[in-house]
Amino acid sequence: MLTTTPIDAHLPLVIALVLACAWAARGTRWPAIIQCAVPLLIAAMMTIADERTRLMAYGIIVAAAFAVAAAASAHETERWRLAGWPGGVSPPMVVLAIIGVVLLRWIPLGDVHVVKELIVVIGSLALLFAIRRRDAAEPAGGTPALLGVLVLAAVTPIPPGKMALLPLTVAVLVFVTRRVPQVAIAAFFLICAFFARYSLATVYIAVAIVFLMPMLNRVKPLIYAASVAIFALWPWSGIIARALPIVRNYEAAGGDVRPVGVALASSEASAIDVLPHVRHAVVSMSGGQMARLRGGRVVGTIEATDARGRMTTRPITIGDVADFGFARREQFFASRNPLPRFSPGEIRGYGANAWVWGGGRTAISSAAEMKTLRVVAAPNLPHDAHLQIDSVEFPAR
Amino acid sequence: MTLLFIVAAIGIPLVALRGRSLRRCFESQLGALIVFAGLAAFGRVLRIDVDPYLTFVAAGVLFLAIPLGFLAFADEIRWSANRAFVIAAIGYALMIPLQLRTPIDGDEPYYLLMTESLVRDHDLDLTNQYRDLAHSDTGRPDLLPQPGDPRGPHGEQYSRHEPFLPILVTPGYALGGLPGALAVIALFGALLARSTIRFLEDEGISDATIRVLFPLIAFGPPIVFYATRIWPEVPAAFCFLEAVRGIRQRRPPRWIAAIFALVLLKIRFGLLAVVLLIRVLRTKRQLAIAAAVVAVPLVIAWLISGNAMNTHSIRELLPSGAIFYWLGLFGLILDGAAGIVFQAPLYALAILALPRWRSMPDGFRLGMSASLLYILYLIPRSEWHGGWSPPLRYIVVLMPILALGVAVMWERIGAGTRAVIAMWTLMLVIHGAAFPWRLFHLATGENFIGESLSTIWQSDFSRLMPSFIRPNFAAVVGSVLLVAAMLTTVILSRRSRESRSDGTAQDGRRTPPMLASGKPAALPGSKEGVLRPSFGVPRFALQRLRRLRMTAPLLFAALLLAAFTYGRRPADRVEFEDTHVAHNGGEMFPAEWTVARFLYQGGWIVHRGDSLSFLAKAGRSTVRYQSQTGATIEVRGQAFVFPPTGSNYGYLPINLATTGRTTLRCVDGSANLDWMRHE
Repeated sequence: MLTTTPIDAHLPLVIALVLACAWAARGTRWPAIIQCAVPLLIAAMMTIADERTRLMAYGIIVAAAFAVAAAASAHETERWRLAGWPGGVSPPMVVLAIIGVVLLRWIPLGDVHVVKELIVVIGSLALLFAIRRRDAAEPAGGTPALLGVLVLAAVTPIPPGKMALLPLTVAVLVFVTRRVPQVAIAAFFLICAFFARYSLATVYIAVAIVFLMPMLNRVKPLIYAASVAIFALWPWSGIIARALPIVRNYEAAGGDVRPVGVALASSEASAIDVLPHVRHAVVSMSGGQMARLRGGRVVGTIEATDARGRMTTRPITIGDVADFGFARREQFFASRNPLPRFSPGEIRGYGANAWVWGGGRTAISSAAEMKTLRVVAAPNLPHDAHLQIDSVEFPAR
Repeated sequence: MTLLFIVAAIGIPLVALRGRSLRRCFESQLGALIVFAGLAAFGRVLRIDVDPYLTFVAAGVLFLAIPLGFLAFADEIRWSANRAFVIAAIGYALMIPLQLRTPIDGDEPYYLLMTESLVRDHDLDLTNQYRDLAHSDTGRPDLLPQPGDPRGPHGEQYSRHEPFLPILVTPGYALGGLPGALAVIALFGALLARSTIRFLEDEGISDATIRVLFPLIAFGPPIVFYATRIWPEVPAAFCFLEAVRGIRQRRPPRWIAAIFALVLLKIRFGLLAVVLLIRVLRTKRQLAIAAAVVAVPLVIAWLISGNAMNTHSIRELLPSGAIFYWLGLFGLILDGAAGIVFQAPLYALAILALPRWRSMPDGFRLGMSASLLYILYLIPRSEWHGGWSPPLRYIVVLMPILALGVAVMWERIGAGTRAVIAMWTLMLVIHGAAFPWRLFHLATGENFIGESLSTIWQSDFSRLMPSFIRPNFAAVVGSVLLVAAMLTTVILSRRSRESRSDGTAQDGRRTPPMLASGKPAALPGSKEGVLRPSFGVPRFALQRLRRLRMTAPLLFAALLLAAFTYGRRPADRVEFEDTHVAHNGGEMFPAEWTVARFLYQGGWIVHRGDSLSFLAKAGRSTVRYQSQTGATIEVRGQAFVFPPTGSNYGYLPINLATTGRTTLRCVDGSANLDWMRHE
């Protein structure tokens, strides 16, 4: 039987947003096509029992409707140019920007900080105007501007509350630097992203994308396609904002997985039962109260002893694992953890609250058959930190 | 398969598009590929659990819809009926392997056996073919002669089917086996697409409309499913269309050849031929030719089966009970499993074109009037729905004519309705391409939509789909609505015609005659001016109607939502063999593969220990059952004794205390439980 998720509960809101998309495309031949998203959403709700498949279907349907509306209204910019309307931004584009921000940030509605989110919306609109003013000399076509706005809006972290001003700040920056080579500014932010911690790097990259828009405009089909694919994940928009590299870092479990469920305090150790005739093991671990530890910090060791008594050790660092909840909306900005290199990809929550479990998979191999496997927590862990062993997997070789 | 999709994805744009449209189409396809790859990557992380084959087919169909969309709406295109032929051929070439996912079914294996016999033994005696099914391409080692198949004087085993189709596919089979035989049918499908385009052009349909409709007609149901299966329907549709075109263009060689081939394909198509011939006969020579056209197939049938009418008889043309006409006629339009509205919604527009008869193109009127006798013969038959075949079997032959009606109506309906029709058609194509075996339905009174929803929600959604195979309340409601819609269309079309013929008429006010100066003349109180007819459709009403047409997807969504809400409630009548009933033991009645099982009253046979679980309403209900031995059934702790009924059906009242899931357990004996109706 169908289980109800917050996204299902917000389906009326989503339908209203789709109808707003259709309104934005009125006067073109596309509103009817966009409206078709509504029966499709209901049909998906009725017919797809698997929760994630259903949400993915919602995502694809709404992303397609949004893309059609954006493309239709971009082609109709001239028709919408109102006397006294500033910046060459058409009202449908403003509506679409608001729809995009609401889809990416306002679901579930219960967790929305209304004032801060309104500041984000206002900042996003300001950024839209600033980008269009900057690109006024460029050929018509506002969709790349919309993309830039949505990317920045998606990654803007709240908390801290002051970060709600990020889109507005970037709008001012875009306006002020409109005569400066934009690639140089983008390069500056990319360099910052390279050296910054993971949670800040996402913000820097989004800002860089805003400045790279004129260049990305040259490969429109690729950019549009990638954007639609990413936007289709709005039912997990928190993942878009904070854990997009999970696609690259995801590593599926493929062997005999055995749950362990042990938390080690500083200097504590735990032995794990090993199956006979095994040379390889993958230990899935996560941190507790480790969000402030920087990448590369050693938090423990895996020790494997073979039949001849030879010991293989493998240090566990932040980067192999992360704090289990570091990608949560509330903790992400303050966190110093990067996304684990090999993540089991356990996604929790929905919408803007979606986050990925900070567990990482650490592999260890022994020259001969393993006899014992032990995980030792580092002695210099903070007093309240724990190294949590979630499971061990013995890959089938 | 992937390679075929790629070839089609590149081939169709190259055939149909040029310049900027071609470049944009390829860009869009590349974009779609990136979106699909991206979503697949995310889907892996999210552990999305979907049928990979369905995903592949759906993505492929959507991918191929891109160039067809460009063909419909772009400016820089290369378009002609011959190009339509090539595009259709590419599409059907792709469809053949999809349809061959499961062995051929229905009448197909018999046609193939006849083809094999022609190729290998040069005869039509199938005795050795049945003996050696292991070496047949039918893939059906269980195949037996059909009931009523004729036998020769020396024990020869013939098929009841006419041999012309096997003769047509013989070259293809000889060259490429079963796929080769299917390729011949696909070739007829492509020819049909070409002729349909020509037909629409001849009848004055605009180029833009034809380009939009072409994919929906050529690649939409039912044509796409019959164009890649061994049935005579698509070659017959081609012949019928060519006959109509030949008559319209006054080209006797064309229509004579077409009608001759049409009757050779199936004796029943003779009913189409007869009316067409009556319409065109002018001279004695033509009469002789017409007599030969009808007589030769009859003689062939007589030589093979010993009966000039083959398995048919003249009695089939005699009127039956009125109820059968209602079931057949409305069933062909509204039935959930076998009706146009659900299985080929595009052609529902042609039904709405019928009340506008006088304003329809001559080709439509000729074709539809020629089919009258055929339809009158078809609808009272118990097998009006086609039996064990993909939906709409018997009226595939009429589809090109209906397509003309569709084209006329297409220009009059709103974008929203068009979008809903296109969406539904796309869904049917994906479903039929991914699950070809589901095109064949057991004719239980349900359809795949109702069955799927009933399975997911364990509630009776099938009752919401009109069924004329097992008539239900939705069928009555649907019939009334259809009649109302037809009457409304008649009234609207008459008013709009009168309003058009009356120039400036807008409302019922008197209008003074205009003077030469352009000013209105003063009217004396007693003298009437030109009375504006009050029955003209006011402009504001038309505007409202137009706005309503724009919101068709929203109305459709509301309908879905209402169905979803209502469908999850317990039904008044529970059919025990339906999908929503959880069967724990027992067996379906009649058995699944009973020939013409739609003639039986269904049910579920329970023995001791078997149980059925379903949603039911509280209060008094009546169970209809049949039991030789009698049975004791326990429902929610209460035992009900079902007395023996012999071979008749009996009725037993039972009381249910609460509404909700109810389990009915057979404690002793056995019974065939037909239905339970809430009083």
